[in-house]
Amino acid sequence: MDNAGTYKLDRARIVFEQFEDETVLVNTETGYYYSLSPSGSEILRLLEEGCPAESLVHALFGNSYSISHPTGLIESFVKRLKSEGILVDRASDHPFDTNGERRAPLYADGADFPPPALDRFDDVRDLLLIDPIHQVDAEYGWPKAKVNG
Amino acid sequence: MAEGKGKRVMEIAGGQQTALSSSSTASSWMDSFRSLQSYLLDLPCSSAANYSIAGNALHLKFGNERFRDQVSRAFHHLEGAHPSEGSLTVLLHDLHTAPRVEDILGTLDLPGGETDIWLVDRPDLMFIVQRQGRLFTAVDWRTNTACLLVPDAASMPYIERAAPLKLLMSHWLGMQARYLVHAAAVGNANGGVLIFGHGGAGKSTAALSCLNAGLGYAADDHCLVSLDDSPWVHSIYCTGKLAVEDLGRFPSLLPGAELVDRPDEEKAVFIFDRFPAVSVSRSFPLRAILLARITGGVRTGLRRISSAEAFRVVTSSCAWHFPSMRSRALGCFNALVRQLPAYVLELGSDFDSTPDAIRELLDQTLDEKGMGDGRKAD
Repeated sequence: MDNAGTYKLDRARIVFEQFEDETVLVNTETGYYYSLSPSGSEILRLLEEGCPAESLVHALFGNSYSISHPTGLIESFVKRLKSEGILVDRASDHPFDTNGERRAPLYADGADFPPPALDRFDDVRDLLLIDPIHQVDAEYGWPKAKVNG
Repeated sequence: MAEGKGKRVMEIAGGQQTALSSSSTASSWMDSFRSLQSYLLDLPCSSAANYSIAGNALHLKFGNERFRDQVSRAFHHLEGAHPSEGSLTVLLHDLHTAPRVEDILGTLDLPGGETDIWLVDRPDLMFIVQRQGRLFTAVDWRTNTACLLVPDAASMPYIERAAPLKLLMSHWLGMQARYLVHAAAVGNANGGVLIFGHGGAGKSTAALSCLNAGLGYAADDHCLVSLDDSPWVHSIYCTGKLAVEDLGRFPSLLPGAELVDRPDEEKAVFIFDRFPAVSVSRSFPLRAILLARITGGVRTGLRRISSAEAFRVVTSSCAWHFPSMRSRALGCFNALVRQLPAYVLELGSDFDSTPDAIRELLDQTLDEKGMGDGRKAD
């Protein structure tokens, strides 16, 4: 894969909730609301565990890996998570234990792998833009003073 | 920190940086405010009023009676609390009662539009500037004392009368784990429902149709939710808003509609302090979450939706919270949708059927929960 890095959720900005039938993410800064497909949710879970992006295919499909696996789809999905500001780089001192006890690959042995999807909704963002909040950095000061006269 | 000094503002909503110049640092500007703060504290007030909002005491001290008329009516149903530890005191002044306020209001020349909000959010001090500098709120969190400053109390923006001090209330009450939501709330002695919906979805119409149908009314636009032991809704304003073209559907409200100074695009405002027949509930336990949606049908009905769908609906209320409060508010909303059933309120043209549908739902949820949980409306 292009990016061999490890990532984690940007928990300073992203609220992550799993419901019985859906995984949702909310960017509290931009107001975007995201819905994750089950396979997308599994990829995010693996990344959160510290799985490097380059190991995702193995973690998803196990030893049943073959050329037919949708490596490109997974790469694109991780890139999308990064570009949306959902993922940030994880410190290198947080290794992923490939031998540790963990869930068996969800899509091993030819299990159907629906493409990972991230749907974005603008409802909250639209509301934020109605009454936009400009947070002023206290150190740098207030907007310009009115010029007298 | 000299580098970049004087050109730093983050545009939260758009997710983009907007550079502005400033002639002074905020810290020096804050020093100026602190000197004005002692001046404001020493000013006489013409009257004061105490309110209890979701169990939290709010103490308003009016510089003049024009301010009282503009602000206090929306809190009328919550009168009666006494200032106590943790209560918030708000001093309300304009240039007539506090001429030196010009030192603040006269120095701000803000870019952006009429609805842009400028915020300094520090642990000790908060500034909220609205309406292009014509509405200035400052809060000293060390003393829980706030000031609302405007050029002229008599010309407060129309929409502020329906929800006065909204941003300050949202933040202060959020700190007490009472979170503002953009929803209507109606119910009876056994509990109630929140009604969410985007503008024009029928939220206000649904809530106001319950006024004369034996269901209590807590809000049609803004209310508070809490989760101390179980979900509750709390009223904050005894007001309602309705599109002018819908006024004819509620003839009993017509005489009280406030239309003076109303911009063309704004709804008519009702402040229920002058409606003796309308009793606004202070709070009640929550039984369900509804999402209003106008349909082409005649009778109003209900359709169950998932917790995830409900979360998406409730999440929209995080826009009513400052960035530092949004994660906490979303945590509350998440718990709320996991504890309550959620439905689409499919609104029909027969208005009388809306309170019927809500009442039936309340009876049903009460049967499911049993009578013994002891949660009764206030």
